[in-house]
Amino acid sequence: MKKFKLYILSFLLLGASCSDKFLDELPADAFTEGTAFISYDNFKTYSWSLYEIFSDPSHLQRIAGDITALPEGDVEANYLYNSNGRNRWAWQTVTAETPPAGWNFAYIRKVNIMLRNIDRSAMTEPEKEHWRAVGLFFRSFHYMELLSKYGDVPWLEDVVEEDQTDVIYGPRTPRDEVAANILRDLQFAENKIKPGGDGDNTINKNCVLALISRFGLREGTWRKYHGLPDSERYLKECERASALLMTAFPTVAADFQHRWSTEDLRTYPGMILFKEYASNVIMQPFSRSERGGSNKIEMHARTIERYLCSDGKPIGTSIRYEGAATMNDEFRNRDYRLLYRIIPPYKVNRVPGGNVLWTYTNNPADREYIDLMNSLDPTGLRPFPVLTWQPFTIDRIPHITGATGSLAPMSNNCGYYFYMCYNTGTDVLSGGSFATTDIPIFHIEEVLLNYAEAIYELGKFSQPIADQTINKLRPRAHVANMIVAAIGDDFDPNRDPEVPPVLWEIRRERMAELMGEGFGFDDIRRWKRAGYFINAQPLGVRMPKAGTPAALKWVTTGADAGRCYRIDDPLAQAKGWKDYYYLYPIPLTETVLNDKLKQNTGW
Amino acid sequence: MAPYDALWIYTGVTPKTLRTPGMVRANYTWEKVRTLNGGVDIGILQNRLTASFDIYKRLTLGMLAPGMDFPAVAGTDAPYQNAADLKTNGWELTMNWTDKAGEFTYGLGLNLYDAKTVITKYRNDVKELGTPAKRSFYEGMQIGEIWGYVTDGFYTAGDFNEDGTLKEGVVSINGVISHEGDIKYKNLRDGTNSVNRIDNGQNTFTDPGDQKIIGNATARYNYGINGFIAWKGIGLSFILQGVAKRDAWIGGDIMFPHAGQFSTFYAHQLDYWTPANTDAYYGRIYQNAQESHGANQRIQTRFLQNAAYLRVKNITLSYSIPAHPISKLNLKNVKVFYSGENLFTFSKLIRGIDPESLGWEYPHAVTNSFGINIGL
Repeated sequence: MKKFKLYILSFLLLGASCSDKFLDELPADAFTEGTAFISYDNFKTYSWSLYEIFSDPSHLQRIAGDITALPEGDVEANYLYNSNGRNRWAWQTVTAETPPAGWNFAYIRKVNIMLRNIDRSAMTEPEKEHWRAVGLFFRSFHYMELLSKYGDVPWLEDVVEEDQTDVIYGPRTPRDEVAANILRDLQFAENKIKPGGDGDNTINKNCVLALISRFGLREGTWRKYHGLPDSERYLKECERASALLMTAFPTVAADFQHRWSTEDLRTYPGMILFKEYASNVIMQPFSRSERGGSNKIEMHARTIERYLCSDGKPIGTSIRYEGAATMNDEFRNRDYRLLYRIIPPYKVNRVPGGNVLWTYTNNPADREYIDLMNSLDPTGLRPFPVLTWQPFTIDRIPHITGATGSLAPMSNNCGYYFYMCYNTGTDVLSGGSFATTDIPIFHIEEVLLNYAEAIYELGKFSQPIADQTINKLRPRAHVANMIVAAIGDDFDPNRDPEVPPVLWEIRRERMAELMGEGFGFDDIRRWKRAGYFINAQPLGVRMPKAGTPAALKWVTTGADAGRCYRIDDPLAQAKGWKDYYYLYPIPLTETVLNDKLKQNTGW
Repeated sequence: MAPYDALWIYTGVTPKTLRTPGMVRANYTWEKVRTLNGGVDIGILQNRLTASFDIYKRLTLGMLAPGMDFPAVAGTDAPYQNAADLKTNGWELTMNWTDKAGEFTYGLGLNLYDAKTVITKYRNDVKELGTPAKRSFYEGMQIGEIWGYVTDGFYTAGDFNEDGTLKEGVVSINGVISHEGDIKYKNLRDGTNSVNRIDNGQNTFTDPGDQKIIGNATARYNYGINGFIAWKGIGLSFILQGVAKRDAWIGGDIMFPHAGQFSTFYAHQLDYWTPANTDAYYGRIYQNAQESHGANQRIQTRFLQNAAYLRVKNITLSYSIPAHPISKLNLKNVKVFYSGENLFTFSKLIRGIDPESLGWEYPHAVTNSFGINIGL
């Protein structure tokens, strides 16, 4: 009986000690939200995952994939093109069923998780504000992409919870509100972030300013050209932020070519943020894939024609322009930035007994650009004739895939071979991703061009502004300075007639300076001139037909007679850009799940 | 929040960072299974013939499943809840015959079973179908459904105008520029925006566009047959196994010539469309898998495979040497045997695809064993 009592007693005790909470244990060997956000260093740890947005596959500009992904924004804009495919906008193959990537809010949630844990952390007030600033910078970076693609997008101020069906199945937030929120967040970040960030190539005040500069111009011009109010507010923000950065970074690097092919961009003047690569830490695939067989990104005749001549005039009026009867003529006396993005023409003899050895031909014209390019880069790391990754010497440019005697690597279909990261000093031999040259994210040259364009849109462009911006970029491109007073209606007879002459020149400079960095598609959409660029048929070089592959087609009549091509004229087949393309389609799967989500007009 | 190395270099190294936590809810519990079955067992002719038959219905209730299909705005998948039910109806039949005739003993056995499983509850209110890579579940869905298009031959020269555009009245594929030799699909439904155009509509059960259920990947009518016959010391036995009905979508490199940009060709894939071979099995192919290459590889009736098969799992032949010659050698018994595993497979699948796993992988080993058992 005594034993029995004891049992009853112990049961009672057990009952008393068992509440629901008793079984709630946080895992001791893993982080949860409850344990991962206490100290300053906790937040720093989590924040590293936010840097992945610079490689996010849903972004048009991203440091991911291979060399064909870096310039994707310029390929979409048809500044460049992939000669194995077709521009999806020009050929109308975009649909709501097969939408381009972009409708992605996982990253917003990632940032919001950090933001909601700041208040209850054990940090000081300035530390809390710093991490809020960093979070808002990154959230804005992604919202800018969403805004640019879709216009109205759901604004998520906080982490969405399961029971918030009014948000999950809610409508989109109007563009005006989203844009205003982005600006508000970036201004907070500018004021509260630690000026130096967390040291060594981290988000700091200058990065925030660079994003304000980019966003102000993008939203300001979008509003102006798409008939929305308030464009000045955003343009003025671009002006303000850009001016601060121009004071902080007074020097433009003397070497344009090195911006995308330097081992350590800390040493490159005007570099605000970059993605660092280091041997056996993180390495990149771009340098190798650029020098292999898969790079079919090319430039075409219409884009090449937009580069200036060395006297600062366009090909239509420059006395230095020697025509385009041959590729040699076409590239002579032109903006050097063309030569740093498209391999200029040459020819050498291969020497039997090796893949690298070569000799000059007897024709002096064949070495014209070999001599020029080697003289422009005294480091010896960007040698001409160009070397593939193996390395093989490429004996000719244009170097056409499948032509008699051509090699597979570094060949393309129509002759204008796009390159940007060329540096034989970095490791491309050990494997696909061993190169260690860094990739820029924010740099002062973009800011100068943002500033010049914003000032023009604000009606204040002048010779001093040109001197502070565009004319700082010209000397290293071997192009004479811009003289604003000389730019009238007749300055460029080939100008898009819808665009005022000076503005056309500012946009031209932007294209030449930022070619390959992927700004193009955002640019032509915010200018509302996408059709002008996208509908152009991409045409290749003029060259002797003998020995070229049968699949290559040739223009036989008109001003472009003699040029080769692979892709037909979209307009001739009743295709081409449509006005409703300015905003992307929301994926069909999303509008089906949520009937409050209204599709963008036209799709 | 699992830790991992950041994709960013800070002071020369990659710092550790943490993954974003998903949504969780606390109140979930075990799933419940309820089974109802009935059966008969019979043995007649002095148990020379035995048979049993079972029929059952199984309900699996409150399975852990995404509470709902979240739109992208949620930023993550919906947390799991006890939100899904499914129902399986099935039956099993086993029959055996064993007998003796003179010095022969022999037997034959058969088993056959089949089941169909249907989702009876799932939070997918719009009955969204998902993508081929990740199918969504929905109420009323039969497990294994294959959604696809109905193939309607190739586009021919007569379908196009001189400038390469499609003629009036010829079916088009949304977002695809078709050429001669490309696969053409049957237009099953017209929508307001989609007249005589191939698309997947809203990609839901109620509006699947021009898709329909073209098959089912569940193995139906699984059967096994075994038998033996023995005469004096000689014995022969076998086991066969098979599936009588199954569809499979193989796709990818093993199915299609030059399936992707970096894919190659296999010998069985050479019958593709060219201007000189318009009566081909496969559609036209494109360099680097560009143009309408992908549209020719959509899940469709033409390339749906019949995955039914019969496999000889085992054959054993043995001989026990009679007692009287071996007893002189002071041995109790000696038995020699041969046994073969997986000797033959009869299947219409592409050579190399195993019909059990449907994968192109390390095949089932064919084993031949010979042996002697000696009893001392």
